[in-house]
Amino acid sequence: MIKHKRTTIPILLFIGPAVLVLTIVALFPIMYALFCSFWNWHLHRSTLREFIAFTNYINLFRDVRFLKSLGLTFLFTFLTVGGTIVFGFLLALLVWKPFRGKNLALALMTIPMIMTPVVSALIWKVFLFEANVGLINWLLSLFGIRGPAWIATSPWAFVSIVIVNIWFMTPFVLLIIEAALSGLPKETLEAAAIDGAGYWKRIHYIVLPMLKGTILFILIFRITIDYRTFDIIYTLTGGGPAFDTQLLSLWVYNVALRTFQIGYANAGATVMMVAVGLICFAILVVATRERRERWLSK
Amino acid sequence: MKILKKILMTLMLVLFLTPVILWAGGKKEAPKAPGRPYEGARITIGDLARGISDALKPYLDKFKEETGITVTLEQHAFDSLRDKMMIEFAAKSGYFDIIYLSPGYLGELVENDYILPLNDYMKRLGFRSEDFLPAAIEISRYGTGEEIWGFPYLADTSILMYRKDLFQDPAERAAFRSQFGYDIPIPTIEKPLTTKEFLDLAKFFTRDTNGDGKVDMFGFGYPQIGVAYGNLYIMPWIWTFGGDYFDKNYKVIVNSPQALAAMKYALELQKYQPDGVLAWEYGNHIPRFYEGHLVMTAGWFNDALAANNPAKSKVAGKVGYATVPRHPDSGLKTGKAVLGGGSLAITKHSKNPEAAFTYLNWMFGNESRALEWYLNGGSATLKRIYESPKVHEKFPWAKEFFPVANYSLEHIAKQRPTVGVSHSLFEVMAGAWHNVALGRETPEAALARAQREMQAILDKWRRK
Repeated sequence: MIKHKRTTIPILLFIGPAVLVLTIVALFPIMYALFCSFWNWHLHRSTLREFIAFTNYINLFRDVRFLKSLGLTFLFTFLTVGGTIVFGFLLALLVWKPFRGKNLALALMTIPMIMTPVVSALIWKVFLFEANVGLINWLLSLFGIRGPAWIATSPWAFVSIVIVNIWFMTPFVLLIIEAALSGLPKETLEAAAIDGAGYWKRIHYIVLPMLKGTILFILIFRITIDYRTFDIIYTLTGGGPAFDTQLLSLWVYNVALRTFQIGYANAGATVMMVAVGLICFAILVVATRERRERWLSK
Repeated sequence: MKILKKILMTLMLVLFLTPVILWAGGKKEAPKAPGRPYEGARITIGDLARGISDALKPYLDKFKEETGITVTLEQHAFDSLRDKMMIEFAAKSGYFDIIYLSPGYLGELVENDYILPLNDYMKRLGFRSEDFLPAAIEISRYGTGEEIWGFPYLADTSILMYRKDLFQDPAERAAFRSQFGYDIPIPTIEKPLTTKEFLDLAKFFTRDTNGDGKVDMFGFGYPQIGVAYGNLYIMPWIWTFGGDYFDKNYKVIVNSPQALAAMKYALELQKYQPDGVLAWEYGNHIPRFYEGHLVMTAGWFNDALAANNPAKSKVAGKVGYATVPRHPDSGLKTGKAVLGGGSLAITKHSKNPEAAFTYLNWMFGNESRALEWYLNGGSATLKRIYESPKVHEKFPWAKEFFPVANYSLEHIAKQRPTVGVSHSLFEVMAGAWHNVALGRETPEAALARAQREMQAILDKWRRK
């Protein structure tokens, strides 16, 4: 008993501060947002604060603009997470084997990631996506193609924000997968090569299964980041045209800080948080099923 | 160990007791010099990060020297200033004494009792309203009320800039005549362009000038991004055609024949604007006009004035100024443009409202100081500024600009709706316009929907 006490106290001392900080900076705001979502609360009308239970949530699912934002957020997250993983993986394969200047190549490839999102978005907006004098449309015109007004028309505005976000976040995925690839056992891959497995077969049957844990981490990490994307979209399109790029983060910003309906905005944010939480949980359950079954059978 | 404990205890006592002793001792008021009633006061201004506020900085020390009042000028981007001030207001912090008051959020601040009406200060502290441009005062009026909620700071509106050289070119005139059957009209204050002439001109000048198969010169171009500029684009057209958003009883009247005609007109005009105007921020059109890619555009005063400045514009010396087009069937004598700019309001929780007003009157009510400020990048709200020989000497290229600017402020500029739910109304209209411009809704359907949604917003607002 005494021994048990002796180990518990240091554990509590070590993890206590972290738990306290987490409670203050994460748990309390989440609980407070949840609490607010049950109230009809206008930031600037102190008299107008009444408990309305689930009314905000019911209204959300009747609100066409919210539903549109929700759908766009899911689509955006799906495309950008998928895009960054695919491109990050392909780029990592490209720089997997040592070659002269590898470090320089890696450093150059990470430039997008170290740029401020607003600056990146402005560069894309002014120099690349500009309909009449932008680089992309100029390149397309060389092939006789008349490029669209990228950030001013649908669906191109949405395509534009997806492209910029993939460009911005791919280096992050590249670095993680490249590090994971470097750690793979060479013997296994060499043995497969000797047995006659071609490059893509080795990637498919050996590399990908071995990277499963890494990809799972990237997947969950990227989903929880991408559904909150704000700065790039705010700078590129402001949520337009006709709200076609107004993801949920912009919707919450507008409802909370333009119309000051704090309760309603918090309800929207809570719905999204729960939805993303459930998606991540489902991914984890599916991805770790094999491991759990193995563990249970032992 | 005991000694250490004693030292710690003593230190703690000193730490805890010092503020108490200081507080109990009270604040010693320094004797105020005669004529400096607010000596020692500190005021903080929340202003936009723009050239006009930069130009205020050189006067802060001089003001302190004369009055003993310390002024801190904080400059923010439009959205972040609005966000910050709204949070400060909700917390009743009194952080800002003076804030930039845009008509865009005037209603919210008045309805929530966050700013002070200035009428009383104006009466007591020597404000001469007759010296100011009426529009500069009008911009801080809420609804039809008598109260003035802001000190004149920036009076602005859109005026039309056009390529005078092309309008007057004999070859262009002949080509225009053969295509449209009448001469290119040269707009004057007395005879502005009609909406039909404006559309014909936009169509005529939209062309490929270098023969590469790409249109590189457009008849017109104006920003339409997001809620702010989507609305600021379509609203003046609706006004110009004789329509409005709602009447004085808050009945939404946007689904009217006038608004429908305006929406159809705007849609037609869209053909002669560059691709991408729906994503243009304010300012994106100005370099395009200065570079010669747009033949006509509209802009706030500073941009219009600079269009003929050889240091800034490639088309300097070739730019004419006119009031915005007029629609002959609207029943109005002129077209309509949005009254832009803003004023400086004193916040309800300011600890030094009188010192704040003293600063405003000192800075903007004094003719020579206001003139100097204008010449160094400020704005003109005193009537006599535009008439000053110094102004004409500094901007010799802008002789035609000042009469058009003055006339536009006096007769054309119109205050946008200032009710507290304006942003929501603008969101609906900007969305309706964007849907029409993208071909997603017909003008009829968009206006019918906008009417329903806007009425619901206004009804909810009135119930509260």
